Amino acid sequence: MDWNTIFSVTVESLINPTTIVYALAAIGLNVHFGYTGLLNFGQSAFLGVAAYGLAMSVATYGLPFFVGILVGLAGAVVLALLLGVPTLRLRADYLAIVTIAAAEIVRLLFRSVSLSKWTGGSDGLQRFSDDFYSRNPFTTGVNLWLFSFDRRELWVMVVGWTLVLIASLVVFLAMRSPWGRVIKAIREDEDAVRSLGKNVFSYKMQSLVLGGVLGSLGGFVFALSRAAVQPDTFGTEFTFYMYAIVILGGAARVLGPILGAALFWVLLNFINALLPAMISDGLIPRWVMDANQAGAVGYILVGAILILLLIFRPQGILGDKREVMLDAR
Amino acid sequence: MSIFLQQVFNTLSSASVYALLAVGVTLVFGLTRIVNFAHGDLLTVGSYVLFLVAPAGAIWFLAGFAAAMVAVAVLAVVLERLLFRRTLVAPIRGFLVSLGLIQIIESGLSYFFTAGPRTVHPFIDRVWTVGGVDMPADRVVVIVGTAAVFLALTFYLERTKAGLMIRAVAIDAETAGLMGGPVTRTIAGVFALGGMLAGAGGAFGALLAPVTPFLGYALILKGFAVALIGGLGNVRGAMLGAVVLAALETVVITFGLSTWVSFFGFTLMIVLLIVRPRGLLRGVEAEI
Repeated sequence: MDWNTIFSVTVESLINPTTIVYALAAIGLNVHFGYTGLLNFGQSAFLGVAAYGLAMSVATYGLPFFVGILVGLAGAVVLALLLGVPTLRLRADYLAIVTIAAAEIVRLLFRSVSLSKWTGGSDGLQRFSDDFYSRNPFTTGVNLWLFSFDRRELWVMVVGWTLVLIASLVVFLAMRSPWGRVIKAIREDEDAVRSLGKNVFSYKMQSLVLGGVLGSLGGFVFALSRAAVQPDTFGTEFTFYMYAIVILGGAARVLGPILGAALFWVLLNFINALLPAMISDGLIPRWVMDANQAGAVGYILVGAILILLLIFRPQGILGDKREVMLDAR
Repeated sequence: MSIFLQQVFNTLSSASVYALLAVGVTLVFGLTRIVNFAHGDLLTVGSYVLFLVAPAGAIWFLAGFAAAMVAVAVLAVVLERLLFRRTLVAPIRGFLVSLGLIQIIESGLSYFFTAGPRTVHPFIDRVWTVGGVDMPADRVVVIVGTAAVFLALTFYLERTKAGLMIRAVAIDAETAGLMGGPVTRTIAGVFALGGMLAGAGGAFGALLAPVTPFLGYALILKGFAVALIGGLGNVRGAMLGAVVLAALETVVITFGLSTWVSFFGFTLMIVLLIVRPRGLLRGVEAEI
């Protein structure tokens, strides 16, 4: 068994582009779910709209890269407003169902055949990232002990981790401010906040926009690191992993999503590298599982970990039990 | 006219499966406030039990149908005992637990049965034509069978003491408990009931269309759309919602927009929630 490869895949997941994407998405989701108590299950749509905003501006309309980024950000804000107006007055459980449906609607629009002239249909879009990579200051990749990244990955990672840092700083400052106190108070008792004369709907909307925009940064990194966008990568499974990450790291904690994302991918990639290696070495007999089934086992473990966390430690690793809205109320 | 009747027939057969799914969803939500997204996968488990018991179809279908109902009911009670009972204090935790369960059940099914689609052998392999309407016998069985299941369910909920207890816990669990009613057992019972309906729905669904391990997730979105349209927590509302959604889908498909089916369904759900937050029939209030 090639322990070197297994360990290098695992250790690289600490900091690789996928982890960045999920960390950014989870930071945004943490604003919604952890701090405000909004059960937004359409976070994948924010990433999708941002990624498609960028990809369509550049690949379909030939606009400059930075205009594409602005279009993507504007798309995330508009989506937050569109999603918020009908749903923010709903109970938490209704909100979850409606946002899932809304994210599905967005995905169906992206993959629709009638719109494929602009969106590329189910194949998605490519060739929008050249401008980004042409600014790459790295001339070679690195190959350091277990870490090996090519120069494109390095560039994505430098930009990505800078974004993670900025996003975390924004959340840290926002949640220390008077605005953040109102947001957390809404999570604890909406009626009490309303009785103090605050416009709860407006605050929730601001939180939805902020979290959506932070998440949309993940959408940009996602699109650029793959140099492609495809509608089916923005399914509900995406949002589900983000929730697993927020809960694992600890909701309503600034560093929770980052820790969660790193741990989640280290764990999942370790299992996904270890099981096939053990099968090909005959350490796991074929009648237990073959290579196809090994993938399914990875997903079963993800589900099991999430359930165990929710039952036995809903505050995750860093969280505070009194501050998690998963408790009795 | 016969074209219209044909569409009515098609609507009813897909409405049957939606209703069996959504009534279970709505019952469990009504008593526990848990949004159980794994309920769609209970239906798929029912289909796979049918494949195991009745690979040859025909008369074996009846045994498979019964086995699916029993097996899924047992599974639902086990899940309630192990997981959902611990999340009753915070139903949102139950919702997140159900999302983890989706991963486990769907990946588990693909582990044991591969990811490819499966079809069951027909129960009655012929097509009846009445007044220009082509009626595959299996679809008739599904419609009639569902009607029978719902007659029995309505009788159970409205004419028996256990049914009375279910309705009492749905209205106010605390008071029902103070009156000496077995609240915990009733909740477990409702999970079993929802499981039986899902098992029946899975067996019927397998007669209508091929089944894959990952069908449950697409189904549960429709199941909740149906339950919300009808009024979440309201059993008759779920039946009505199933007919409404199935009719909408039939119309959309008739206009040649079959790739837009879920788009229209979800949009209807969201628009209806804005206009009528309680759904068509009085369900749980959607707004805070």
